Amino acid sequence: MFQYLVRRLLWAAVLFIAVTMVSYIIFFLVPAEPARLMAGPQAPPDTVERIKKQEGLDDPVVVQYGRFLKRLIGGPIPGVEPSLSKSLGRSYATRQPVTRIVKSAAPVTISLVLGGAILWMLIALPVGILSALRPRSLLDRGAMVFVLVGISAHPVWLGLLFSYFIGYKLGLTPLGGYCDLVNPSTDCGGPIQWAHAMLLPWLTFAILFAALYVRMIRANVMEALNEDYVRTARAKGAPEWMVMKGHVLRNAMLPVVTMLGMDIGLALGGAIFTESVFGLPGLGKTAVTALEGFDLPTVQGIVVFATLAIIVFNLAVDLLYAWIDPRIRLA
Amino acid sequence: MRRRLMLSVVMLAVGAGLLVAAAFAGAASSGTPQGTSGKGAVGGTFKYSLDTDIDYVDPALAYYVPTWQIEYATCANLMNYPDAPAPKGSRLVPEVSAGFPKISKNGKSYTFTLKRTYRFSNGKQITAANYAAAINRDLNKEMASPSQPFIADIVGAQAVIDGRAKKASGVKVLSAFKLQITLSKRAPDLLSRLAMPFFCPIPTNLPINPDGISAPVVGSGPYYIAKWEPKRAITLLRNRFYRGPRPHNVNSIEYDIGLPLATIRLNIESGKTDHGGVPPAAHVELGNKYGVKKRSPGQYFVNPSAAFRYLAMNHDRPLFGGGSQGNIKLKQAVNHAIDRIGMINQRGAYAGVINDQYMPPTMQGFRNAAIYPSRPNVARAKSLASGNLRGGKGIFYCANSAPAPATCQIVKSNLGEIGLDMEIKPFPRAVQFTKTGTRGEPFDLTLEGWHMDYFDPYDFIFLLDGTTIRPANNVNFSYFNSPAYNRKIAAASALVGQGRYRAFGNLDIDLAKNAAPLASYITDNTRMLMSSRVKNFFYQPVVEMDLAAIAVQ
Repeated sequence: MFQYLVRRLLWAAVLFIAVTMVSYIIFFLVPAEPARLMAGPQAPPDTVERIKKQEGLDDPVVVQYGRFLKRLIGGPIPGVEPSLSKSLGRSYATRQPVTRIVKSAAPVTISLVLGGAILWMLIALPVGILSALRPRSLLDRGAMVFVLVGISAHPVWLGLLFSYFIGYKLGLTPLGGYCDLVNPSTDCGGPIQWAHAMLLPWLTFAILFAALYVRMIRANVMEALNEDYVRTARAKGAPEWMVMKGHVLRNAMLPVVTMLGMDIGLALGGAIFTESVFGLPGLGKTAVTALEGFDLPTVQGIVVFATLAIIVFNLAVDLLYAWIDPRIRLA
Repeated sequence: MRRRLMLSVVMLAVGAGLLVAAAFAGAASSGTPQGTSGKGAVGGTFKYSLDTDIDYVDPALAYYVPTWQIEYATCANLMNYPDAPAPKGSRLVPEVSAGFPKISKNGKSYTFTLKRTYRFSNGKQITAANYAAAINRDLNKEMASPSQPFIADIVGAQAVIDGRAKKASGVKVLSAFKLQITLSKRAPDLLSRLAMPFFCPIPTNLPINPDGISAPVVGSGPYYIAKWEPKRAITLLRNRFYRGPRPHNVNSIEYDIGLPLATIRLNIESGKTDHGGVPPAAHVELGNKYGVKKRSPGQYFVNPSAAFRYLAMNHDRPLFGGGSQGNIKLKQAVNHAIDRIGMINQRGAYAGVINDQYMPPTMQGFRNAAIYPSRPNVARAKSLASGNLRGGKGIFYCANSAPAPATCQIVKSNLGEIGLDMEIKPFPRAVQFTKTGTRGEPFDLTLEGWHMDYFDPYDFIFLLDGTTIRPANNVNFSYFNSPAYNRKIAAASALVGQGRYRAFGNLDIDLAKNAAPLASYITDNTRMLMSSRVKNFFYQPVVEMDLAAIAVQ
């Protein structure tokens, strides 16, 4: 187990460097002028040149990348203020520390993704299991229609529909915006207002995944129901609920656990569509704004966070899988 | 029975008394003036939705239209623009300055005497030192403020910008309420430049911080910035120490940030917010639903702004360049060939008015000469182009965000009719702006726009001033550099008052007609949707949205 962990962490480090390096290089291929962005459109050339030197923007890309990694780890860098050590640098657009930008955006995305995940599992589990238990019934057919719609409908379109009918016409929820769960920074805050504001975003975010998971759970449960051990358990006289709990679901949920971990990790990179429709100041929306403004440090910061999230969740899923299924050995 | 009667009488008396009390209470709440109000109720909160965040709350760094609207409500400048619609709203008047400044005979020294009644929102009196502090902080090398080009002509400014001095020697605090600014050369537009929010008075101990200060920000105007939660919310509250004549109708102004335009529109129509942006495609429907108005009463308002859009023809390249004024006939041919109405239609309903000149109609000195047609005059364009095509091929830089690509296709098609084959190269807007601002970039034509920085005709005509051309970061995208016109621009810049405006007005027509370095097609309109709560809206021609004057029911 220990060897496995060490190997995975080493691979994680390699993956991290590869991902950040690629995103750095892509930015350098784009002919943007961040120094001009910081100086303003009317700035004279010498102001722009001064900012270039100040921020080290005239150094070769390899040097800039090395400085970025060193700053991340926390090493001292000549000419760079100590407060930027162990940080993601400063935004070109707002000059704010990227660490602060990511720290303020991450809880919003985490709220959306975790809440959405709970909701999609609450929908997918009962619908998927009942569909599998009653194949070709009205419920099953209805579930498959839901799956088709959920997979086909774009989250932006869904979000706008919900916003219009539920938020605007019925007035049941706010049309958008975010309320802090704790330590509200605006007039809107606290658990009740937070949950009220997140209802539509959760629903929008969850539908696509709920549709996919209904399909997956249905297929897994139907496959498990046909296994020999289920027939044996029934033959031995075990009650149906015990057969379902102890044999069917336990086996059917294994792939679901794996997918859940990976999907949450991926989504933490920024649920861009849902955040954009509902104006949630999360990582996705921040990334889009930063991309439009060629704000490399902010984009890099979000890439770092997303990469770490995916690595951590993948590792957690693998370990969990090994714990759930005794047949799996982490070699 | 008697008891019942007594009870009824008592209840009747109580009810009558309550009615009388309610009548008095209603009169009291609507009649207490808390500021000059215009036609709306006083008090309440004005709610504004922004789809993107502001840039800074630091006056030295803020350079964005919504932020300048906030600063118009929170700053008391030496000179300012009145809370009034055009034309009054575009006429500079003294604000904290007690009258226009005394100007020396050589026109380089301006001495301001300040009123003593103005105070910051923390109660401290505003003095000459606060304005000097603002200018010196703007010039500070570390701040790298975008205001520096606007005050680089103050004596000693360059030394501060270069880091060789802390204060500009041309900014002198003669006494607590007397400030003197000395320029290195005559510049009659100084007062207009000083009205920019960059020169808002600041506490003398405001630190140098290139990242910008955070809220709360001490205000000198009718309001101050009480809170800014980046990407979330902004709150402006009344400055209770403000004793100036400007209105301050609402108690607070609350911004929410980040909602998409479609959601903002629904929120405005349902009354959850009072104002914000709307999707470009919604304007037809809004105009039909609410009618198009210029000021209250109403909900949908359209007014001309101080911005224009144009095609810039690059004089550094052989197609449109050559000689001191370039290939004049071909440039005039382009102006006759383009479909201005078609180009405007790409921007949506009520997007703007046709303008073939280089100043917007709201600018003082503008005279409409109707030089070029709204629809293509192909015959005239062909006759002008004939013999002047110089190969007839060119590179056309265009932004890749709507509506630029469609607009560029229309232009390409129009110019194709007269024998010009333009190859469109699309770029993200920020990249296009940088490229076309770099001298030597291989483009012949580019689609551009310009919104004024300060309300003076020079801020538009300087786009064609050849003396401003430099290796990079240009805004003279046509690289037009005619010594004769440079002299005319310099001569007009040295004038003051109506003479100045007349001179620039004539120059505007002269340039458009006889040199034609640009093909202008639209002066933008500002299209605004307000909730039914909003009263007393009028379009302030310089800042567009006058937060101090707005009132809500």
